[in-house]
Amino acid sequence: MLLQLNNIFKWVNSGGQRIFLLKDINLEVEEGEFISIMGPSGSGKSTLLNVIGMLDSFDEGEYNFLDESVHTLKEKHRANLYKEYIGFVFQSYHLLDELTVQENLEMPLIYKKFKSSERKAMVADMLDRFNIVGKKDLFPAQLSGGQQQLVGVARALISKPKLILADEPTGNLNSKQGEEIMELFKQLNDEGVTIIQVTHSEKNAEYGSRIINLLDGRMI
Amino acid sequence: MVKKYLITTLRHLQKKRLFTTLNIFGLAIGISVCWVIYRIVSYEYSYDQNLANKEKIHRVISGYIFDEKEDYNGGASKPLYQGIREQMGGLEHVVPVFERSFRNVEIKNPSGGISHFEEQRNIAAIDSAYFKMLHYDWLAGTEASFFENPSSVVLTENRAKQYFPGKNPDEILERTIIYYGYGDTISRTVAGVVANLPQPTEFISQEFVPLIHTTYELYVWTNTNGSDRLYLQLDESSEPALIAKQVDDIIQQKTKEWRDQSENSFEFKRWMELLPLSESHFSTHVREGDIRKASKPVLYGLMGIALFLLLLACVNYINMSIAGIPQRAKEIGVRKTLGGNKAQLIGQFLLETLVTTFLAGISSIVLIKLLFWLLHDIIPEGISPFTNILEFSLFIVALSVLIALLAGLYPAWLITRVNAINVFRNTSLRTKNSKGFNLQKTLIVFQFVIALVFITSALIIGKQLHYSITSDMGFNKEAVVLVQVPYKYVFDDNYDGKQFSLLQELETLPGIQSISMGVAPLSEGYSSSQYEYSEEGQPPIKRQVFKKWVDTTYIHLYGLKMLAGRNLHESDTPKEYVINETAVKAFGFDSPQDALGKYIGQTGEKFPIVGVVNDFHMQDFYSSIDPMAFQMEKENLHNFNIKLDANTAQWQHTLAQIEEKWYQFYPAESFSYSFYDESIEQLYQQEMQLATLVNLSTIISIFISCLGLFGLAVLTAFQRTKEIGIRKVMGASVEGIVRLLSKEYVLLVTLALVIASPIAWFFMDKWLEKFAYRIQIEWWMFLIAGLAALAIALLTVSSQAIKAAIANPVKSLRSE
Ligand SMILES: Nc1ncnc2c1ncn2[C@@H]1O[C@H](COP(=O)(O)OP(=O)(O)O)[C@@H](O)[C@H]1O
Ligand SMILES: [Mg+2]
Repeated sequence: MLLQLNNIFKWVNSGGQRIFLLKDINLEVEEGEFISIMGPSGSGKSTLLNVIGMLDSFDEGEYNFLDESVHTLKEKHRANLYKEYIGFVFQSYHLLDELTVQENLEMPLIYKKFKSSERKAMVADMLDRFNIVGKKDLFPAQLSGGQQQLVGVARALISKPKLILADEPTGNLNSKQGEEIMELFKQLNDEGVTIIQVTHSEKNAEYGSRIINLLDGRMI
Repeated sequence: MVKKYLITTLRHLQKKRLFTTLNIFGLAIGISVCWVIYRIVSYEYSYDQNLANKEKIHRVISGYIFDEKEDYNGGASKPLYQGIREQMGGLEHVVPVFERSFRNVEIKNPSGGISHFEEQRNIAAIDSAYFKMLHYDWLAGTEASFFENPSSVVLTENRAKQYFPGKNPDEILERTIIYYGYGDTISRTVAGVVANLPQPTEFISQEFVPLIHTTYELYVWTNTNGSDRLYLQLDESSEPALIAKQVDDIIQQKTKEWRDQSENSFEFKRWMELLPLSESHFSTHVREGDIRKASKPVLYGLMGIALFLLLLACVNYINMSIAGIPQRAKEIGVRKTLGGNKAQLIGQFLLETLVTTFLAGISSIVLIKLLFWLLHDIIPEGISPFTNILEFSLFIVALSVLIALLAGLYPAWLITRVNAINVFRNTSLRTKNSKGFNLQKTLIVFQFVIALVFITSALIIGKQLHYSITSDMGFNKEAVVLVQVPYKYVFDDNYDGKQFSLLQELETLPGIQSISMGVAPLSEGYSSSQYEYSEEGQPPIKRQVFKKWVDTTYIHLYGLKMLAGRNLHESDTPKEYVINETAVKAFGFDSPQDALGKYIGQTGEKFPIVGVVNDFHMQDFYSSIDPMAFQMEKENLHNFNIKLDANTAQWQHTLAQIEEKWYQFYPAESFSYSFYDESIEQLYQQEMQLATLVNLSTIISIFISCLGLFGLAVLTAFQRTKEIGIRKVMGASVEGIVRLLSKEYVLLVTLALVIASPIAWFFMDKWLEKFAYRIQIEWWMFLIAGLAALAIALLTVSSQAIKAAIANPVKSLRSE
């Protein structure tokens, strides 16, 4: 088992009132699964994804990731955990504007303390695999949305994570570009990478092996 | 319409409270410094500005070459005015002002009792030309009655108030004042009271007596005394250079006549110059004791400081405005699409700048008071922070407009270039040039260059001061107290020889190691004369030698080393010399030993050298050590050099005992003592003022730069929130992010250091050049300055960097 959420609650206090963002979430994810989270806007999909990605905290419940209990871990340890095992893909790509494609890909490797020569090889690998060698010296603004998201996925994959979290990865793309990304996910999943994606599209959800529906922070 | 603009502007400024505050604060500092310096400079330039004929008035001053050095004296030979009146045309007025002082002034009160006034100065002998050149209002009496009676006196309002407190000018007329000089006593009747001249003025005489036109002997033409001033008011058509030449001719002629009939071979060159009245206040090259002068270079320096600090403040404003543009890009985009044109956008931004500056101007009132308090040592007396509200308001308005244009135009122009489409497409504005070297960074470097020049200068000036004050003076000044018999008693027959009786009394006191009578090693006043040494068959060697009258304990008390020969012998009359090493070299003796037994001195008055002591400092570190000779002559000994026991705890007690003894011989109020540490510090008052000024400028420039840096750091951190969020999600650590955000500033400060160092080096080397004894500028001084600047810069930006680094990335990435 890759990860397990037990009775997760998350809330914020606003004007003396407790507003629940996540209510009693129970979820088990096996390695190699491809899960789609669906639900209306504001239902807590991103919040859930961020909790899974350890970017955000929760207020109650247990979270185990690869036999580590995340809720008891110190901040630093938790950061090391997600650095090593999780890759993120965003709806608005979140590439760094002032870095080239190549430099964007290299960035996470620097933070994971890879040696320069290793980094070079891994970046070259990725560029090759995603067919963007010709674009390596371009800046994000010079790419189309689909190409930018391609770089975004490549960046998430570069340090060989076990789990990819994608928050509406095709939300800003046209249907053809979206399809390409989904195909890519499928292919990655076949290679053994676990994927959890948030999506609004039934069609995209079909690519996954399991669908989780959220409403008002609760799984239905 | 304007009102609406104003409201929008105020609303906008309020919304950006932090930046508005930083901007107002920075600009307020700039404005305050400008105002304070403006006050000082305009005061110094206002001397005698309301004299109607000021352009035509010139002073006659005397120039000398003395011992191969050029020197100026503010006076002119007494008889010169007579020569000019007899021989020259082209002059409206020839105005002698011969000042003197009296050791005591007495006034008998009608009700009985006598008022005493000690050491009265600024009493001038004048004739009617004085009142023709300068217009005085007569509050009582008339000019005619004054000049009728040779023993009359006219007082200024100020002096009248001092002598006759609470009396009307009319009541003072005909009162008698008795003046005790140094050997003479004069009784005078008050013939008038005149209003004070408008301040500030260099005509500082407070009492006027009629000048008696005597016939002077020829030798008097060769005497020059700084207190004998001579003013000329030129005709409309006269050429100053020509007049100066004629005046000089008269002096050269008389000097020649005198040379021809006297045997004195004393050689010196003297000439006369005209000094325009407008330059007189700035004539720091002319030695004058009584009159405050201002140095133009110092004033220019001050103006430079004002300009730079104002520029720094403007740079801040520009920087923060530019950095703020991305945040207002949306607003600008909307305005543009809704039909706002360039002029309106520029106008709006300039208005914003103007309002900010104006608010800064108002806040500067408090800062100005603070600056006046901080700089009270440096700001000349007679300048107050504000005298004229209108002047201040005008200054603020004018400066506000200037700053608004200086600091507002460029950002305003940038704003008009914001591309509406790009803004809506959400393409980042900082894509292209953020890696290159943009204006913002250039400006930051500029700020730090200025700050670093100040830091380095402060460091070097401080070091030189420390060096000057603490260096070995060549004599042992530890525990030595100086007590002087006031000058006025030296010539008073009643006190003749009393110092020696006092000396005997003091020697019995416990707590005193030894006492020497003599001119202190480091003394303000000194006398030098030309000594000669003639070897047979050789032309005589003439050197200017400083003479110090000392007794036989002096050398021992000050721990001077005898390099050859022996100490002086006790003597009532001059008999022999002990000279210093420099004098040995000056006269060309091979060694101290070689100098012994040689005769030096003024013509017809030569004495043998019996000993040589090591060189010691007799003046400040600007002057090199001059040839010096000790000589003993009892009646010239008026100064006590008292060496106390090493036990400092006893000093206060011992001093109190000395004071008690003192009162048995001299009047109570005349006792004062000083330790060397104080008198050495006295020597460097100007330098200490400079140090204060530079230190303050350093603090202000660092502070302003940091304000700017802080503002920029806040904005940068804000602009880069998204980037930081992404980097964190990709695994960047907090330290990594802080380093990333700070690295840029480290580079900028390093670059600034590279630029600032040669500039600071150049100016400081120039400043140090004037010192005969100086420190060397060394590389580590720049390093320290750089490290200090770096530390300050990092402290400033790190809080923002840390704040940005520990922020939750989920938050910064969500907003889209
Ligand atoms: N830190 C927070 N404070 C207050 N409200 C929050 C916070 N984070 C999320 N929310 C709210 O919680 C709800 C769920 O948000 P989100 O998970 O982003 O929804 P989704 O991704 O499903 O559209 C939204 O109504 C959002 O406004
Ligand atoms: Mg969402």
